[in-house]
Amino acid sequence: MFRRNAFTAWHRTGAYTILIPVERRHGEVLNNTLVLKGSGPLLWQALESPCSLDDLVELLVAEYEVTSEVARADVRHFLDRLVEWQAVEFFSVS
Amino acid sequence: MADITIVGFGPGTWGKLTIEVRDVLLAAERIVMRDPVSWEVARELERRGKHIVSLSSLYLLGLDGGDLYPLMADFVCRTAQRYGPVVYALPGNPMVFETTNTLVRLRARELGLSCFTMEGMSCLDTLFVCHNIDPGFGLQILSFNTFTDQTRIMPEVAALIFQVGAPASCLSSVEPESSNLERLRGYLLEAGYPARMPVYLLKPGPHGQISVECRLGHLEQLEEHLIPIATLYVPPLWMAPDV
Repeated sequence: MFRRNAFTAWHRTGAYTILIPVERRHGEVLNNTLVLKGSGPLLWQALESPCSLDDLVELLVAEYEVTSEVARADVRHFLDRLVEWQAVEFFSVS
Repeated sequence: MADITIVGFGPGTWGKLTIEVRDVLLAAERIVMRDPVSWEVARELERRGKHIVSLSSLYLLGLDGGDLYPLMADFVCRTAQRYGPVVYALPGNPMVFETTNTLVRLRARELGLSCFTMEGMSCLDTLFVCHNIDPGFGLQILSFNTFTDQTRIMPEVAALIFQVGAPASCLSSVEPESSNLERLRGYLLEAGYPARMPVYLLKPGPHGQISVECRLGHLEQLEEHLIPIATLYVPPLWMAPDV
């Protein structure tokens, strides 16, 4: 399962969501700032509660009428990036 | 100690810090500044071994204050949540024309964090001395962010217009038709000020408050000096030079 890292500052503005994970410290704060667009803000919104990869794929399929293969590739790319940036964390449910 | 202590460090020079604020800054484990660390106060703190996180690079995102300042406020609060007590240092007095102070306090309350504000020397104090203004004779204080067609200014009374460099959002779909200074010049000329009226752009800087003079008719000349938190001082009409 995936969820937001609670220590991420963020703000939604129009079609964009801007994130600053405070645990990421690569020089200037601007270097640690990520601007989400397209389906990113929707996925970030969904991650307010824990979600599985399949939950997020379903969300994109329903919202954007894309195939589940396309949605899965997008979600994987999104999660890989946000986990790397420490804005999202993976946890296992026992 | 509160989870977040918001302090005002005055015009930016070490000598104009209050002793109370200086002591808080020197005792702080974590300092977040909205402004650049090139300022004298920040350089002196770094010289004394303090690490400062500056949020000034976020201005390069090109967001307007309505989007940028809540992001900054959230950053300050999440930092306190993650790492413990934070001192958030702002120029001037945090209670004078400082949006992020209010936003940090609101966000802190939502997140269950305690917050305490400590005053510093306001830009108003410097301004009163630099320009011989006694507010007892009247003073209009306006924010460019909230200017509307209904805003009225009285040329007979000294005026301070804050946030004259506030950027239009790069994420907005509406392109502003003219620059802030062009809009402001048109507005002030229409209000009855002469084009030869001297006006002053005021801003905090690395070595204290900076004041740049120009004539109202050439207000765009101040563009190169503009920063988001700059203030325009417009003296009362009776101080206008004879035409």
